[in-house]
Amino acid sequence: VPPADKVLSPTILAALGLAACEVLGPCLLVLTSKTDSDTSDTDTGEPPDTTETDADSDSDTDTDTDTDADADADTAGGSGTYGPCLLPTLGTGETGDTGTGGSGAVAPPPPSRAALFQRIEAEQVLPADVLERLKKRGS
Amino acid sequence: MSVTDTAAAASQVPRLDFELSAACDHRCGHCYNVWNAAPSDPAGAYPLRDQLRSAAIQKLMTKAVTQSGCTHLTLTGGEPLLAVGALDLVAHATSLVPSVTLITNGSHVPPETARRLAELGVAHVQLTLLAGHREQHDALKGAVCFDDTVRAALDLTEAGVAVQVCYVAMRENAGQLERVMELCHLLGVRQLSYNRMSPTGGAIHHIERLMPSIEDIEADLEVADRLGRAWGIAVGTAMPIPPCLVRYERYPWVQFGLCSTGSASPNLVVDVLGNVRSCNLSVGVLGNLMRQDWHEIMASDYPRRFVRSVPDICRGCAHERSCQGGCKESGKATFGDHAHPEPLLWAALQRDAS
Repeated sequence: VPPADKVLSPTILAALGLAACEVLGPCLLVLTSKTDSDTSDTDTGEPPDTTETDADSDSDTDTDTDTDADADADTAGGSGTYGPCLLPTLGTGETGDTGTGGSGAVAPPPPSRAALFQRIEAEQVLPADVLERLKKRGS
Repeated sequence: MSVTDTAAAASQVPRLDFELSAACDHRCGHCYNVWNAAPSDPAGAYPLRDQLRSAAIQKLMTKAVTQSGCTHLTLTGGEPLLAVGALDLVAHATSLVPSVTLITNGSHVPPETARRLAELGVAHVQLTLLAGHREQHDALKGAVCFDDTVRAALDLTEAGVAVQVCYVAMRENAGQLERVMELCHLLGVRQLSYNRMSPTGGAIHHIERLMPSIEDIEADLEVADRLGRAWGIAVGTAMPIPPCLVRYERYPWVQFGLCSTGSASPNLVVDVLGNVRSCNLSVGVLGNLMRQDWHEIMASDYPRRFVRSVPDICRGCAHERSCQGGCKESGKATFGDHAHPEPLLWAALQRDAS
């Protein structure tokens, strides 16, 4: 977790009425300061984490060192301060903080077309003429 | 190349929206049409006097396409199919550009209209589904229209017109995206535009009741990612969701869009007065196409002022220029200032400060 002054400027912290960024949790936005000598690349972090699905985030051990997957594409630069990370899923920013993955259960597969039809017919979701046409289309 | 030619070349845009009619027979609480704001609202009193007739709109369309160089037109409203000579306007649009999208409320697409739209070569028709069952959908739309909408989707897909479903995420339809995507799957819809409510116009009076929470949005995005991938339904967001609120990388199937004002592909709108506005949600008029040429309108400094005006809280953020603070037009409509955090961001800031 980067030090607070690398994440939020005192101005922003004051605007939020906060004492330190730990309250918001580690910011996942780009952490590079404008004072960095390398101005050609704003991403100082690890490669983008494209594999995390958080399906099992019950025991999420992500320590949030990933400094943002889309940072490379954003050439905005900035003034040396960084926007507040308002990600609600980061909670208090403690290591091992739970993500949004929920219970850790893997999401069930989507229902089959036949199962969908059955339920929609039973619940009378669609007008009868539409349902009939869809049945003919499927047959 | 003359100075005028240079200005004309610099003012080219790839796409344009035309609002064919300000009228609509649905009464959506989330409707962003700017002319529905109350006169006393921060962005109220947008005038609707002297609306153009069909023939004038056709001429304006020709002028806009010729001078702007755009190759895509989106026809919207209000309800565009309520415009006098609506199908003639659609035909004119398809004669001018290779790609036309029609955004309609779904209540005016009987089978013969669906077939005509196919004959005309309309590329996409966007319909709105707010819930997976008629009672909730109709309540949110303020009209009895669910059955007509699903019927229109079927008629259009069978006629060969690609249908895009627009889902507006609100507090009152939280959890309905899964049911809507199920219907998309059955109806043969392969594109979904996921739009969290972005209040302008009369919608600013329904923020408390309708604005979704970030948790609602995240739950929807999980559904969009999972079912979109499984069923081959492309999902994109048009209303911007600031990246400080949601981790985009968790939903790789979803294409996140940010505000395009000031970009090379702005969402400029020509309205029923001939005014060119910076987007559908904006009362910011760049000029009037009845009285000015396109390059003169594009010389307006509105987009530049807009881009420079961001909430203090966003200044210095790595995403400041790309995100700009979300939907600043909803900030302007609600709070009277583009630099005020827009309602979704404002709610998050309020929550975190409390």
